Amino acid sequence: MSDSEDYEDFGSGDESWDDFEEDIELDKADNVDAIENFKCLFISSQIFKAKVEKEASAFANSCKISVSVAKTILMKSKWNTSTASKVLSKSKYGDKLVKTRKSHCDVCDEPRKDLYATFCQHEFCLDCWRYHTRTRLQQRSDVCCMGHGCEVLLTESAVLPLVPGSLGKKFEEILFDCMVISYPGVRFCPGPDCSEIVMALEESSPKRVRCDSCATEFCFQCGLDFHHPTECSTIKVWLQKCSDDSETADYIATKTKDCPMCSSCIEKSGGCNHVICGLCKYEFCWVCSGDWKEHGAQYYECSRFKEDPEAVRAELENETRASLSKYLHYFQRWDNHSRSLKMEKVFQKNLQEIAQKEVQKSNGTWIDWEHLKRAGKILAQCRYTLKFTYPRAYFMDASKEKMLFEYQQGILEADCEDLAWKLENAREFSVAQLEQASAAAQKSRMTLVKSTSLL
Amino acid sequence: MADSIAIARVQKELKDFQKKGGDLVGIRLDLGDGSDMMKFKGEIDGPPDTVYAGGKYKLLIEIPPNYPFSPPKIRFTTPIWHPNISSVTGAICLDILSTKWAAAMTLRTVLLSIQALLESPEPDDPQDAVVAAQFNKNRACWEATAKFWAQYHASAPGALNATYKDSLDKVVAMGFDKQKVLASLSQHDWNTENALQFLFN
Repeated sequence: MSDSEDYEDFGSGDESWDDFEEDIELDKADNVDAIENFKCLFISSQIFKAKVEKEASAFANSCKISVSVAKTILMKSKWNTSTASKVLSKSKYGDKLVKTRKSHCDVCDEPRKDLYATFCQHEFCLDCWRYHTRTRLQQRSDVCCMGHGCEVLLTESAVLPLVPGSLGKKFEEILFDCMVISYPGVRFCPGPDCSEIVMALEESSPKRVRCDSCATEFCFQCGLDFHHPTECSTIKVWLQKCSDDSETADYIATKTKDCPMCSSCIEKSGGCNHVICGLCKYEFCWVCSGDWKEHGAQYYECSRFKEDPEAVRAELENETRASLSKYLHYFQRWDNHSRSLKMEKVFQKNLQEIAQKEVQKSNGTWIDWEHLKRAGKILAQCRYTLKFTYPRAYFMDASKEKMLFEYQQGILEADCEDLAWKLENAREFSVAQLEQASAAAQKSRMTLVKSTSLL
Repeated sequence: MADSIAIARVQKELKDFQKKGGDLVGIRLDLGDGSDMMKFKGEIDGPPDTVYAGGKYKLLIEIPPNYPFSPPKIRFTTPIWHPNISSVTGAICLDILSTKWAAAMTLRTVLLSIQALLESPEPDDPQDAVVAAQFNKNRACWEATAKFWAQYHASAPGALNATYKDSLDKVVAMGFDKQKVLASLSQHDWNTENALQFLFN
């Protein structure tokens, strides 16, 4: 314990003695739960649907509107009823199409008997309403009225009867996805084909969630692999950098931007710099990423910046070259841990086989070999944490913080390799030696995890 | 099915267009030999009392298969110097051609809206950032340039600005492409040196 205490001291210099004792308490329970694991609840889509319906009908009742309109407005206002009331007064929604008496459709320009309109009284035939709705849904945009200059939007209850079959189902699915995305503190499990919904029981933070149904582990805040001690924005940049440092990365860098509001990736396909995000409908300027509404007068500030693109490009190129070796340094270490993690999965199986053989030879019981399994698990945890220290270090500016971070990282590396060695040659080491190595590695890991989550 | 709606609608619109006539308001549709109902030409007159007055602007109109539920694709084929129209491709930034399109609109209303756009540019929502910048910062130069383009490309009446013509001829004599020189000079407020620098790069 004595040498690990030194690290602890270094790791949390500002802490009072009381805090320090508390930390030890936590360690004793071998519990990093509060720091690494996110407190949350798993619910099925049916339960979420029921919850949302209930809230929508309550809001509908209080405002005397239909549930369908209530849902649409609540989604737009992130389920905050006071914002929703404001939105309601500003917008126009049509929740049903009603048959009218006119006999000519202005869209297909034919005499028709089946003319329908929302409260706005723009009447069109059923066929035209259907084609229009299908076209709008295929473009993944809101279904509006077809009237010239009309701003009425059709809600779920008006749209669904117009799109029977698979497109209608798809529409309902998309609507449900939008509901989950718009609901604060709720997200889908990012696991493939998993429809489990995660509900936060604490304030959103980049902690680990393990899905109840598909066992996928991910960061609650961004949905990527759990990545402490690296931040969400950093890991996104890092993964992009790693996955394709070739043409694709260049393409994404030059031709696309992330929406400043919801961070979905947007490709500009020509046209003006007034860009509307397809997902969250945020309007921004392509050149400076600023809000378009507050933008009109300042537009030319951003075009001035573009006036000398040659110089900017040259500067970028130099920087790229200089930073390449730095990048490779961190990448190799990151990649090495990824590979080791994969190999250790195989190795853990081997450990089990070793234990099995020893037990069969009547060389002790299962319990006597349990420490191997435990050590293997700790080793995997250490490697995982270490892997995600490198992207953080790569993006850190040279500072005292970075020195401390890399010091802790170095110690964890050493402890981790020591444990790996002893585990691979388990026959040459005593149980006590292995347990000690495991404890040391786990201690260093927690020191690092804790000092980074304090930031 | 949607395809047949598009063709029927376009045919009716064209018939209606011929009946009402467009000449009085300065818009025309040219079907050519009538073989392609989904792609044809249009023409609008530059509105009077603007820098485009007297100019004749040709447009290319493409009808998408799901017309009128999607807007027609329209671009200028006659080069024009306007903040909301690309001086290179002729692409038009107009809300009713994208987000504000409504199926009840017709080619006639669209052409009239484009004509109205020539009358009142909207530099805060630009298609061509360079033109928009000039429009906001150096209005006199923008007006003279837009007029020069109208006379040069769209056969608007009146004599060409002599200073501009001299600069143009001088640079063209060095062996550059005429349209490229005009674009470069226009982009650089007719500063020959900057325009040349741009052409060399």
